Amino acid sequence: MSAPDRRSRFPASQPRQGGRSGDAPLTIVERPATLVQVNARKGRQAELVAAIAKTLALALPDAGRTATAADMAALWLQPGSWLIEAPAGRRGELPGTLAQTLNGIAAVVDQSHGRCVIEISGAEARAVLARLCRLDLHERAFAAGDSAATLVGHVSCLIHRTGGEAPCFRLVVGSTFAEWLLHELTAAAASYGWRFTPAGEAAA
Amino acid sequence: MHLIPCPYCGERPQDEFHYRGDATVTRPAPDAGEQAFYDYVYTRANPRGWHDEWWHHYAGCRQWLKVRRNTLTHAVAASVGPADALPEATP
Ligand SMILES: [Zn+2]
Repeated sequence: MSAPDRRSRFPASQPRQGGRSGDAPLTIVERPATLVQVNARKGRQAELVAAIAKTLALALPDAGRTATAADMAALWLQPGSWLIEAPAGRRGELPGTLAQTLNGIAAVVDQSHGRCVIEISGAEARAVLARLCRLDLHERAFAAGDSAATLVGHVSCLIHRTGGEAPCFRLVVGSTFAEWLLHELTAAAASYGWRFTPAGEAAA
Repeated sequence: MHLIPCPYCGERPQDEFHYRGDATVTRPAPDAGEQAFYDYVYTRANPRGWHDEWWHHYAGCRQWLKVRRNTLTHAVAASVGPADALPEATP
């Protein structure tokens, strides 16, 4: 057995699968990421938007939306506050860079260790989420690029729909809730079957 | 499912919110006296009908909201952000 991946919220986990063996199992993949929360200081929101546009080429989105540019994304959290998602390799550098750039304009909090990103996909991804989440996640109500902070399996999550035709959702959840959420997801997906891949095992 | 409209997130299920009490009470002046502060902390009306309330959207945008809710029918007439004022009257 290889050494535990310290980036993973499931350090003891190996890829595994379960539930009924069907044609459309739910694919659950842990996606390690750099996550930085930025909160505009009072009256400085316009400067924050301008600074993020300049340094990251990201247009901070309106409520309920995400913005993407290259390998980064910005997710709306609450008035004046966003979560920046970047590749895991930037954990050592991005939070400090942003803190420096946004000094006086925004509070910058590195959430890379505090949050876990779980991606779920598959033809029945929506049906599985419907068992855990009260929001209408149908394409007409929750399209690619939409995001919402809500409850999934009684756990506070930031859920967003990534681009592409096939249903694919990312759940940003508190790290200490990740095991619980995984359990809820696999239980809800039992009738379709599921496959889980922790970080480190997943293709980058 | 009781839906509460959040001015930031749109209609959301009630279990994303915590009820945080009467939004009509205002803090008395520092020298208003013991009875005024007793009433401010403890004395509440229990209206049958429209009531302005604090609701905390804890599982959504984390904002405290002012919500005008009918305690008889659970209908919601309006909701605004914490620093905004609810409309004057509801028919
Ligand atoms: Zn909200």
